[in-house]
Amino acid sequence: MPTIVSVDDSTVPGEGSSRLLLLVSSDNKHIVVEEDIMSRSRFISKQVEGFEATSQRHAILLPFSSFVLNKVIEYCSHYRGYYLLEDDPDAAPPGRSPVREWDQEFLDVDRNMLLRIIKAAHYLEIKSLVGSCARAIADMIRGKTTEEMREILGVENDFTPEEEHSPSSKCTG
Amino acid sequence: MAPIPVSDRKSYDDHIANFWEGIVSSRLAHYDSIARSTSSSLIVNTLQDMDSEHLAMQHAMRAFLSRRNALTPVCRLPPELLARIFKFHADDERAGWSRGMNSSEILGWIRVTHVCWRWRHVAIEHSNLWQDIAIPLGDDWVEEMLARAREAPISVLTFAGDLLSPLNARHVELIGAHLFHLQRLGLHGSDLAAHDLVQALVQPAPMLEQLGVQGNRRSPLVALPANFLGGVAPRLRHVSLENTIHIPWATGVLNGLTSLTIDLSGKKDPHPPPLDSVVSGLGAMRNLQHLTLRYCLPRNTRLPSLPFPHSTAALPHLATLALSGRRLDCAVMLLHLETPSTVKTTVVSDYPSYDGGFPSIFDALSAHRRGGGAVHTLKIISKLLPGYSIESVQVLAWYPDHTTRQPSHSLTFTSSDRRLDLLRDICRAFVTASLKTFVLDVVLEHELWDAQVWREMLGRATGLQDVSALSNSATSLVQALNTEQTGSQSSADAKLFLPALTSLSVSLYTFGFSAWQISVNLREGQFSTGLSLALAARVAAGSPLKVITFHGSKRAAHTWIEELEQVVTVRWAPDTGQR
Repeated sequence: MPTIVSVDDSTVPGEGSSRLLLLVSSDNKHIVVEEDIMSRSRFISKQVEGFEATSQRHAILLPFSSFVLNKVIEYCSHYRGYYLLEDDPDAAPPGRSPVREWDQEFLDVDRNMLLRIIKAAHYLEIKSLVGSCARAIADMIRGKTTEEMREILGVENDFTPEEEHSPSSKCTG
Repeated sequence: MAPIPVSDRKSYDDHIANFWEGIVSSRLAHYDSIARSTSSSLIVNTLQDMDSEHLAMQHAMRAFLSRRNALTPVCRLPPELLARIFKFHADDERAGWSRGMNSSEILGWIRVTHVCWRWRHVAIEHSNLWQDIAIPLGDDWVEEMLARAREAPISVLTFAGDLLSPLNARHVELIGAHLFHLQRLGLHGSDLAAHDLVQALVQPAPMLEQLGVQGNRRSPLVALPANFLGGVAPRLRHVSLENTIHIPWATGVLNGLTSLTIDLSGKKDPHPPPLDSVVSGLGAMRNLQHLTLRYCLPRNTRLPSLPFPHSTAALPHLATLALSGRRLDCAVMLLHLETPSTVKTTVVSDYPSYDGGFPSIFDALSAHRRGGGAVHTLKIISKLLPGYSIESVQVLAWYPDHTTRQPSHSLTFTSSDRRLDLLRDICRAFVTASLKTFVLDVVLEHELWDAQVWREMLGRATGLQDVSALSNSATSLVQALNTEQTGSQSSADAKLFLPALTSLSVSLYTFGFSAWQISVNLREGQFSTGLSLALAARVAAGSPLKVITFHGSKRAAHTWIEELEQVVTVRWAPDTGQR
């Protein structure tokens, strides 16, 4: 659960056609964003519903940096008002499909940034962004050897020789 | 441990180095001293100790590296995200399966389980990664994947990409034991075990959604058992059966289908199903959207008289219908199906001379359509069909209620020995005053297809605006357009042929490629003269042609075309080189 702090009304001028939200990143940057833009996030939507129940507005503290948060906001802004099947809670899960062209460019970032974005998207429950990121990461390791995968993603071989060849793992490729 | 201040980093590094060096040095010094010993028992014992210590060090290193990996961004992802990435990776690799791959290439995605301990743990724990079980992966894998999939819905295929693998008795036993969570089953029934498996499908399959049985052309027909799936497959939606017989029309197990394909191409069903059981079975499939029946239609000896007295199968959601078989059988099946007028129909049928006495399939099509407007676009194309050595005639028809590029009717007749009769039937069925566009791309026998035949075929098309006469069909059309040449100007039918015509497309290949250039020139001369006369006649009649489009290479020799440009807009279609 995020920490919620009370917000002064002057900080968040709401009651417009699209109300404003105050998002606070882990590096304590305050970012004001229209509620409509973030409605793609199930997490934010649930928070806003909670505000309505208590008739109080709050800032939403998020556990990732403003750099990552701004990327997510950029994504949500781009698709503002668009219907994306992946984000429809009532729709059947989409099958295998290519990453949207805009998403490909948007996710043309370094490995660590991509991993931070997918984690943030997962936290914010933005399924379409999670899917695009997961596809982009899968693309990074497609056709690669295990050694190349380790190198790309910065992990070490932590198996003992016994574990690598143990009978229980005879079917691990 | 508290983070180390940057200023102290150097001394910390030194400390770590000294720590490890101290341990390594003291251990190595101990073993160095033993190396000088002559006691064989001491050496044997020390060897054992060193092996044990080596193992302990490997475990320590594994634990150390695991903790190191746990700090990397990718390993800090929640397991469900890692599993999602693996799923995409697995799907990618599976899509690339092809003949000639070895097993390690086929199992490509499983490389992720060799990257690090956490990846392996996540992959093995997520049962949905192991749902797609392909027999070509090998027996060990089939069993291992079934175990790892636990109770998640599974799909079992006897093929992977274009790799095929025969079933064995063990597979049959395993699949039978996992019917309770089988979601998709795809069989190439080219081996006896596949026959055994199909015969064994008599237990309920509550999760089954898709079933595909594809028999080999050289293998015997696969027969579905009468108590297929024990009559219980409530989620079954898609069934595709090739070279499979004894469809359990009466069991009700197929009632929830949205898509059904039965294909007996190249096979002869010794006991074709009775018409009544097929109609009654289809009638129970109220949600059917796609129906394909190839060479499996009930046999008929005569077409029932109209209006149709018998029961029909109402398929209110049908979007596509494909029938192949004898013309009479297709016609009878069409008459037994009640479908929306928007259904896209494809019929591939023979057009033999020996059944000329039967009513036309087009009558059945008209009755089948039951409502809707008349055809507005009609294309008749002669071409070689894949798989057929003879030239076939394809008819594409669009109705006004169809807005997509796909035709409402696609009819293919695989015998063209009675081409003129066939074309007459087609035009009789589809040509009305509502027709706006007509394309004929058929090589015609000039001695049979003359101007009078054109008038007969398109005489009712009083609203026709665009005509394309491709292949060699333009010459006689121009004659038909030229009332003086047809000699009917003063007769009772002297009314203008195709009065709404504004656009004409013709192929310059119509003049042929004879080695005798003089023959080509003569035909071209006849055509150009006829066209000039027709243009003038239509201007005089107050219905001038506005656009003529030529298909073919523009050559300097076509000086008559330059003259045409004075009276009509001339366009050139892109030259595809096709004749």
